[in-house]
Amino acid sequence: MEGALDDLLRHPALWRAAEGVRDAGAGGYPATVACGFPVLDRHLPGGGWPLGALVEVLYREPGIGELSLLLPALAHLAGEGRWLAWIAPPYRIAVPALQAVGVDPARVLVVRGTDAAQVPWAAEQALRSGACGAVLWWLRGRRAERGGGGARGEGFRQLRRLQLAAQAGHSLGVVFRDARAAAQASPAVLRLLLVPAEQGVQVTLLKRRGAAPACVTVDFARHPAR
Amino acid sequence: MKSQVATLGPGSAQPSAGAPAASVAGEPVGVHATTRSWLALEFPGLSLAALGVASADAPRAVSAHHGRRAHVLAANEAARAVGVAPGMDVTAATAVCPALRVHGHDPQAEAAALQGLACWALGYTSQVSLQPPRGVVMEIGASLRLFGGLGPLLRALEEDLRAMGHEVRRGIAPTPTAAWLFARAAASTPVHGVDRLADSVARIPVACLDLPPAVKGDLQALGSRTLGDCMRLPRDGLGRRFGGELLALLDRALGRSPDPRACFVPPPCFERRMDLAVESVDRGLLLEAARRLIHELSGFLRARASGACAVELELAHRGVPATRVVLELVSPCSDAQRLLALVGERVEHLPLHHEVCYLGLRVHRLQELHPHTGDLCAPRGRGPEGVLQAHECGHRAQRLVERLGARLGADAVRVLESVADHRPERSSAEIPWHLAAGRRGEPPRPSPGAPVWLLPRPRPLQGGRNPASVDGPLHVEHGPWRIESGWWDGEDVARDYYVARSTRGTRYWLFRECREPRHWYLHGIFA
Repeated sequence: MEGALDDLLRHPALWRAAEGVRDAGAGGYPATVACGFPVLDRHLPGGGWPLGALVEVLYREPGIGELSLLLPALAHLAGEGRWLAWIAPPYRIAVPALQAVGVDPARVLVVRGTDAAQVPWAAEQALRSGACGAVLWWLRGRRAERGGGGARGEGFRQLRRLQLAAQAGHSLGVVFRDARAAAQASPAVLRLLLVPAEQGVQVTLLKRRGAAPACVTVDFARHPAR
Repeated sequence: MKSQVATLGPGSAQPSAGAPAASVAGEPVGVHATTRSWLALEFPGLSLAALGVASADAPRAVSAHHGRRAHVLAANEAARAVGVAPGMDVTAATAVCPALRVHGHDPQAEAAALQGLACWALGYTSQVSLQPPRGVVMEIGASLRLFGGLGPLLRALEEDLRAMGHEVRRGIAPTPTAAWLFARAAASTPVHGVDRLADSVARIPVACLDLPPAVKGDLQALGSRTLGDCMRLPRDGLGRRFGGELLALLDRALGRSPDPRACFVPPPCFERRMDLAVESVDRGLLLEAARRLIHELSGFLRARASGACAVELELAHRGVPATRVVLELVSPCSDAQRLLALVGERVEHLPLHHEVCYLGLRVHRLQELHPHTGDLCAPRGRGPEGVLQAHECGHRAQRLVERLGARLGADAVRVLESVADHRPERSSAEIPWHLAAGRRGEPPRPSPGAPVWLLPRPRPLQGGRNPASVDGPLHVEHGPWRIESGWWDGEDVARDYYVARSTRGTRYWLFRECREPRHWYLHGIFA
């Protein structure tokens, strides 16, 4: 009797909320990439950043560790041979810093110098192509805030398209937005709000699959990544 | 089992079993190469296509002059639907169709278009010869194996021709002259083997021959409406009455005399131009014209076993300098679909302020194309699937880079390069991807806790012994690290770097100059 119940519970079509979502990796890729900080990995559904989905990272000020959270995962994806696309980064990228973290600079593609209207298109192409393990793009500035008006506004539709593109290409899409966008609805499967903390950053998981919002502090001092 | 001889030469006749019955003076069939199969293509609408009006919605026709009278040489589909037919008098044609626009015949444009088609045909076989004014004859016997048979080859040809928008009549026969006659007569059933050739040639009407109209009229007056009738006439009488031309044609068609054809040699570089029917900014028309040019380019590249590394598209305007667009390719390519995708991407988002009168395509750099070989031992891989993934990824990355470059401009897509320099602003560079090929970066240098983000130029800060605020009071956490370098190129720096944290939580990378004036600067942000 217990054997039959166990078999039933193990059936792949059955989803149990306590375990989070298990995605069958398409094409041999795993469904998540570990983010490298165990305290955060425990709270992320699937144990890491979701591949084939959109992640929103919200913060008020740059420079509090928003990129450091992602760097170990980016290093892992580059090490597997997939590319990393950085679209319209706000500053110049220092190659030695990337090398120190373990990200292979030969696998980084930077798209710069285009007007803001082309950034979502470029992100969509990069996500859909399947060649990029992760696509990072920055949507900050007053124009970006106005664009997201309303639950079903233009910004929402655009992000939804990008979410579908990420699914098609099995890539991790990360969009960096201002913290004021936290009040708006978003189709991203994972939303993080970052607030600076004493030694690291305090991450509030505003939205995640299969679990309630939570708050966790990531301490960078323990990790040599910085 | 028939024994077939494959030598050329008029004298040595070898009767084979099943020799054709119809032969003017009972001569046995001459020597022929039986493994050869010729395909002839006639393009009745070539004069229209050369002017760019073949696929126009309005009825259009091209007229040629014969003395003082002008007759219609070719009419497009819209005109034929209304009742205009080639050969009609122009006045009659305009009476039938008042909306008809008649263009003068441009033999030079037609010849250039025929050369372009011959370039395209070189993608299917190495032996192509021109049959002016509107035909191409190609030897396909040697290509049948590569394409997997006659059916697939013909399907591929038809698909290409449909994409280019050409009307075509084809004929297949063991000799080029017979194939051309079949094409003219629109007898598209392939004929293999010389024994069946005579019967099929006999059915061709005399009107399809390339002879002066007077000769054709005399033949028809004699009662010979088909070539079979001509062949039944006595040979020497026919030669005396109509000259040796007709006899020579029959001999060549039936394979009795050799029919050497000059092979078409492609020009050393590909530079073609396509006129537009109407000067416009309609991107559909531009893409249509670009599609034909790209198919021709693809054939040209395949004939030379090379790929294009960069392609230039020229959109000419009247009175204004032309718009030139250069498309860079990651790897040399001869595939029409890939080139078309890139050109389409670019043309769709090109700002066009003036009307375009013609479209030109040029290849900038050719490179020999090596057939692709897989790599069994990939440096990064997790096993057999890992190898496949690394390889697939490379292809997809190439396509992505090309697409992004096609739409955003080749300089917008960059890769990172590290330079051997201690000065942080010099040690990394972002260079456009098409300039980065083949450049190897320097090995990593140890950097004292440098951040990922660097400001384009160090921003000066106020401050004396301690830095003043950036966006709030600063608290210096770590430091100093000294970097002194660059005395040899005039940009000498001597700096002490510190990591500071503001009250709002942001961590900055600052430096203070070691020499007078000892200013503070903000150089980077820790992300």
